[in-house]
Order: sequence, then C-alpha cells, then structure tokens
Amino acid sequence: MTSDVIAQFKNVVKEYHTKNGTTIALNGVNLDISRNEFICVVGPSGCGKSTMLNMLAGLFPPTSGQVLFEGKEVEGTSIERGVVFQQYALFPWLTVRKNIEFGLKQIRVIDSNGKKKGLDKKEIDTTVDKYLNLVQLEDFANSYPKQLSGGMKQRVAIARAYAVNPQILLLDEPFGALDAQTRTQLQSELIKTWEQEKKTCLFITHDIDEAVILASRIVIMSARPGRIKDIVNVDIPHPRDQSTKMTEEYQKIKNYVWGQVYEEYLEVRK
Amino acid sequence: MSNSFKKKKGHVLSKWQGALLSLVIAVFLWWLISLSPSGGKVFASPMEVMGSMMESLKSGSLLQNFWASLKRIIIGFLLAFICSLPVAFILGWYKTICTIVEPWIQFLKNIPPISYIPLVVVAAGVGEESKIVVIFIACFLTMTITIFQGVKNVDSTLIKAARVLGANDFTIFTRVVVPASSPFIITAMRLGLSSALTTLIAAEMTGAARGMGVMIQSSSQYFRMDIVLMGILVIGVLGLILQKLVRMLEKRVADWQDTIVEEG
Repeated sequence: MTSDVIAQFKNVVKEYHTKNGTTIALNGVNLDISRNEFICVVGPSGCGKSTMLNMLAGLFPPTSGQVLFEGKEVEGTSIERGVVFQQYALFPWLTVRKNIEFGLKQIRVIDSNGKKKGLDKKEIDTTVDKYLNLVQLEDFANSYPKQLSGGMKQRVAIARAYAVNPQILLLDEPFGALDAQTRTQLQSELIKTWEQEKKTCLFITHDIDEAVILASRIVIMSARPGRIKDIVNVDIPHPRDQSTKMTEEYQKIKNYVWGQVYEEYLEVRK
Repeated sequence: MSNSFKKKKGHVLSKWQGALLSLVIAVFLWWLISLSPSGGKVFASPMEVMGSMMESLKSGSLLQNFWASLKRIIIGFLLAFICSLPVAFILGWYKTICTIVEPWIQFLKNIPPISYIPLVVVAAGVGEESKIVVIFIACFLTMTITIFQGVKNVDSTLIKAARVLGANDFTIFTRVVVPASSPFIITAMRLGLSSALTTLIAAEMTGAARGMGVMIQSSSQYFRMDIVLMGILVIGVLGLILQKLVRMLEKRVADWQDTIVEEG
C-alpha cells in the first residue's frame, strides 16, 4: 500500500436481510481512493453506491471484506470522515451558525495540563465565520433552516461537514433534490472549493454531467448486485467551470460514461 | 364554485374581531334557546348565569371551588409530566424495554380513567390524594404515549448526521433526540391538560368538599341549572387559558418547526 491511498475497499460484500429474503447490494467491490482525489460513483439506482459511502462513513459494516481508512479497518463513525446527506440533515432547531458549530463543539483537545477540553469559543467562531464565508451565507448566520431554500440548506450542510476539517468528504447525492440551476451553481462552488483545498471527496450521484465536471475519476457501478464495472480517469485540467462542458474532451468522456451506465439501465429494466 | 375565490378575497376579520363575533353569536344562540319552553328548563339565560356568577364571586364560593380544582389539575398534571418525560424517553431509546412496556401502555390508555376511581379510593382514600392520582393516571398515559411517539419518530438522518460529526450517545440524546421531540412534548402537554380537565369532574365525584365538579354536582341536585352552566363555562374558559399558555410556550421552544403539530 502506498501512503498516497487514503481509503480502500477490499472484496467488499454487503447483504441486506429483509422479509422477502436476502438482497445482495454489493458483490466484491475493490477500490483504492487516493489522497486529494475527487471520485464520483455513478450507476443505476439500487446498485449499492450509497451503501459504499455509508460503510466508509462507518454507519454500518460490510457483510464480508474490508473497508479501510488510513490503513485501519473502519469501525464506527469518525470526524475524519465527513458526510453530506441528500436530505441536508440540518438540525432544524439550530440556526445556521449553530449547525456549523455542532461538530466543532464535539472536538476534544488535550491542553497543556494533559486535560481534555473543548475548543475555545473564539476558535470555534473564527472557523464558523470562515466556512460561512466560503458558502456565502454570512447574512443568514442567525436564520433557521426552515427559512432557507434547498440550495442554501445544502450549502450549510457542506460548510458543517468542512468545518471539522475531515480527511475525506463523503457526499451522498447532495444535489439530487435541487433544481437544475441551483445544482449547477453548487457544482461550480464545489469545484472551486476542491481546487483550493484539494480535499479528498467521494461523491455519489446518478447525474453523469455532474460526475464528469466534478471528478478526477469516475467509478461506474453495475446493476444489482453492485460491482465496479469500469473506472474512468477524467483528465480534464483544472480550473474547470461550466464552460468546460463545451470542450471535446468533456463530451468524449461523458458519452463513454453515458454508454456504460445506459447498458446497466437496460440491465435493470430486464 | 366559481365564486369561491371571490369569497376568500372578501373582507377578512382580524383575529380579535372574529373571536368577539363568535362569542356574541354563541351568547345570542344560548339566549334564544333559554327563551324556548323546553330549552329554558335546561338552559338558564345568560343573564341568570351572570347573576349567579356575581353572587358566588361575592360569597367567595366560586373562587374556593375554582382554586380547589385548579390546584388538583396543576399538581396532577405536573407530577404526570415529570414522570412521563423519563418514561417516554426510556421507552423510545431502549428497544427491549419498549417491547415489554409499550403493550401495557397501549392497553391502559383505552380504559377511561374514571373506571380506576373505585381502586384509587380504596388505595388512597377519599381525600385530596385520590383526585390527584386519578388526574395523574389520565395525564401520564396520554403524555407518555405522545412523547414516546416523538422520540421514536426522530429522523434517523439527524442522528446519523450528529454521529458523523463526532457526537457520542449522550450528546445525541441531549442535543438531538430531546430537541427533536420537543414539538411532541408540547403536544403532550396540551393533550395532558385536556385529559386533566376531562377527568377533573370524575375525580371530584370520589367525594370532595370543594371543587368545580362538586359545585356542578351539588347544584344539579337542587336543579340550579344557572350554577351548573356557570361551572361548565368556567371549566371551559380555564381550558382555553391553559391551551393558550401552552401555545405561548410552544412559540418559545419550538418556533423552529416548519409546521406546528396539531392534536388529532
């Protein structure tokens, strides 16, 4: 294992037991995620792409195989692995500022006397301000989630995930519930943020355009039981923006990925 | 239905104007009924009821009865509230305990609290305790079930979100489960208070020196329908005031909600 690899899936199988029998969601997935990579996972619904993300987040374990993070098997959640959910998952009783603070308040550091303590209020405030600024929501710091649009809510969720400075960011169809305009806007913002911080990202989506514009590598999943069908390198140079979509390279990759995914859609329909 | 839009656009009464109009119409209808020969037997006229209210206010008997009842409601309700909170949270949080205890509560909640009165009287006598116990039982069951529903229905994504942000079980409980259930806690208070009022009369029938229930019960024996009606009205007004207080509390603690949870 090279030190460059941050997370690994090794022969991962995940089965769900329901009343109607056993469903195999993932069947033998192998994937290495390198530091500073932006990986997008695409595939038909039910191919287990969210399952992969949840296992790396530590929300549940694989049935067999291993999910490794920094060389160690994932056991439970950790602030090293931040998650952005499709349904925003903001705490509705907390203001935007308090939502972003939530994770920071859980952090315990060891002070000079060897005692555990929380972060200074000042430190928390500075960090929150920084990320409020990043997602351009300074004016809404004291608003409640119900007062925000879907796009703004997801920006808060992204800021909240970034604020605890995780090693990897796991995004589970974060823009899936947004309208097309807001979606492209948030994509552009996410590209910019990634270009600045190069934070490792695992991004689940079913939108191929979204995958090509964001990713450095695209993982194409096969229909259930989910396996990795193909991995495509997206060599389009950064900085990227929406005009990147006009380039020939982009179109070529998009057509290829689309063809691969379409085969799987047909498979599902059978 | 083509003019339904027009109707909505028409002159809209303010909240207070509407309430006042509603009250005036109600009193008017009441007065009409009291004028009719058969209605008049049951319904004393608004003026008579006002008269007997003044009288009993002057003699102090209304206030004595009112405080006796209010004290029982408040004590019974508060005790029930304090007990139902931990019980509901334990039920919602620990699956095993829930599987054992939930059927008991589901069974008990269908039984009208009045039917416990003989048991309560034997156990607690005819004193103050027995009334409070009956009110307590009524409130406790309603509130436990309602809060428990809230705890059970906490959005699991929120718990996951807290977990990936590094929260431990204790933090998830205090910072996520409790606030997420707060709308249900408020609804539980509202339902509990109305159970308390409903059960009050029955509780006071176990024998009491004072109370709104006693006042209504004893006046009916002398066929003083004016006093019976006055008692009913006072209980109704008390109910409205208590609900209003809960609503004010709701505005303070659960204003973040998209929609206010309404009781069924």
